[in-house]
Amino acid sequence: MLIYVYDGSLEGMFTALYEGLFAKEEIESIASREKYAPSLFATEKIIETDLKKAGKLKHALQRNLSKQAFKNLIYCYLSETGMERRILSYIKMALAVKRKIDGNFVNETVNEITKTARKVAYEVHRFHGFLRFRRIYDDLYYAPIEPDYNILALLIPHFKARYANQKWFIHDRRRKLGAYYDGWECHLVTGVELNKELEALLQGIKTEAEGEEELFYRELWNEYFASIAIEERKNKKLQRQHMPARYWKNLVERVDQV
Amino acid sequence: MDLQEKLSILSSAAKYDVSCASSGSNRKNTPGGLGDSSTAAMGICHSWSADGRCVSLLKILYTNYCIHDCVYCINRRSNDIPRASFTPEEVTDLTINFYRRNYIEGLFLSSGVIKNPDYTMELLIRTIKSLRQEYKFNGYIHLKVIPGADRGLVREAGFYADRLSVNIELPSEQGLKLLAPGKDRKAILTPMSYISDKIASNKEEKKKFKSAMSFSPGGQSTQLIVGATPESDLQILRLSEGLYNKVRLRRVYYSAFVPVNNNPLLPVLKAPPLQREHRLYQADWLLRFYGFAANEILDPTLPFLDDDLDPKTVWALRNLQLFPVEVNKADYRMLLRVPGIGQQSARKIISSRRWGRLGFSELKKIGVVMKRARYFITCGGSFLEMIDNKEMIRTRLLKDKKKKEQLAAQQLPLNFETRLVQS
Ligand code: SF4
Repeated sequence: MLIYVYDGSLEGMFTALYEGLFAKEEIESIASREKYAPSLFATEKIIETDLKKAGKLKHALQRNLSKQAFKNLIYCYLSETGMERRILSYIKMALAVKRKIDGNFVNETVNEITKTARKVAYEVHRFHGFLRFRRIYDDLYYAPIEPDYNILALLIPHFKARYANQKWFIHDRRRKLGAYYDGWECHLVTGVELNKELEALLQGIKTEAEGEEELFYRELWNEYFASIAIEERKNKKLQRQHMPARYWKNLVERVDQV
Repeated sequence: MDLQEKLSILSSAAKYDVSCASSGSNRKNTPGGLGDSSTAAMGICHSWSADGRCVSLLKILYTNYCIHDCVYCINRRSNDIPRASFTPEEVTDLTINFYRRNYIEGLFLSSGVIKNPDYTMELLIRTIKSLRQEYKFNGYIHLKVIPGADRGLVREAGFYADRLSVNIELPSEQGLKLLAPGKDRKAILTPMSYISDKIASNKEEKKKFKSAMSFSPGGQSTQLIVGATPESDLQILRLSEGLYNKVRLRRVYYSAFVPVNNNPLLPVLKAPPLQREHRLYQADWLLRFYGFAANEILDPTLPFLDDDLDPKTVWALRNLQLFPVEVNKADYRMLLRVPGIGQQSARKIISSRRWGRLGFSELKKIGVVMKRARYFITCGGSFLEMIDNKEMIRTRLLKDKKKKEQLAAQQLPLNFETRLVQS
């Protein structure tokens, strides 16, 4: 059993896929270093990221796949659900058939890739709505999120378009990633840690980081949120179905209290 | 009165308007501006209220004072309730600050009528004009047109709003006469068709001059109350059909009547007719996306939708002679008419069958609901189950439905495409 282990980066995955296309032996799985669990029965091969190989494959894919199909592969990578081996099957097939295979939903590989990519796209769509900024330290709009998939980079264009004129920071707390927009451009940061004050703030403790104004509008929003529900139509189950409880934590409205 | 109290009164007064869509606009951000409605072509829900409705816009009345006395309305003149009015500044301030924090997609502004329609409309326009011009706000604005307002005002409003709507309120003229004595049908339909023409001519204009200002780019919608007056579902669907085809409305919203007032003119209901509302939305969906006509869905001998089965299934049972449909051959239009096949699976069937014959297991993979579709299709000429008895199929379907309802607690949310297009 042969397992490819790469460094977790997109280029790393493309390198592994590139190697995989030319490999003589059967590849059991492809895993990022972080996800890889060594096993007695497997032989591992460490893949060194090679930008040249990665670039070559990327170009070949962009030439041979439809735009949507290529995007689906990237989304599957960002899902972090161990789709790498399936991606390899997909591109093998796509490069062999010389015909756009993404319409063939009956094929197991195509179907799985499409389904996973949709889930990621759906979460992006959800976070366009479920993300909340808090104004901190006077002029920074800060939003903590904990998405299932690694969608931070996919969120940027949307928020950049609408908040071009304010500084903001979107913080993926699960992955310690940040997207900081300084009013001009957006920077991706890794290894993000919060200071004590902000950590406390997210626990619901009042700190200096937030001004009176922030509390004022948050209260107004809560007032609004509570008053729009029609008593005669009350349906908490439906609410939860659309907005699963795992998302509530980082919303500022008190969903469970109304 | 402080802002919090006003917000509480004026959002609570607006909540009976069911529309909250933020879709269909193309408004891009401008230099130095705030907001963009073009990246949200399908509409975005920011939260879900305790009644399970999508919260997309800050939905408020400018004021809940009203000169009219519509019998079904909580804000009617003769009700003794707390009243409030915003100022334009308060509305813009709330909108901007909510928007900046990503609480909302924009503003849905409606109002009770104070003094007269023109006066009220002018206040609304002043508010949204200030949002657009002073604050360079490019988020979504849905404005409710006050029936009876001057045409010039309606025109002006359309250049600031992403969507305009005039509520038709009740499905028939008699209903309106009875329950909304201050309003007449003409005052509602006239601005509707004016807006419709304006949207159409604006589209032409925009083709010629790219820089032309957009007029209500998110289209026009309306709402009507279901169950306050005795109209049948057939009457309602015929009305909607006309509104879609002749007045080119984007959406008709159905609002199950919530008895907020006691009045001998109103029916006595234990609960709002939510199941009826739900079936009307399904039938409406068939009108807009599935190529059905109102007369196909219902007819005078059967003027109400079925409580137990969805309208497409009921239609299929009444038209069994058109089935079974061979999935490997049928065109998109006919596939859509099969119970258990939706738009997405119909599209997938068409694209997948180019690669080879589809069998039942392939259909399942694609997402066809076999429990329902099985009685209506063949794959390569063979049946999964051959029953050509209407009543038998019906009994079977109802049994499955019962089972499903028992499982419903563990169910995944609806397919998300379906929800997106709905708005
Ligand atoms: S016009 Fe009629 S429906 Fe509208 S707010 Fe006044 S009373 Fe209510």
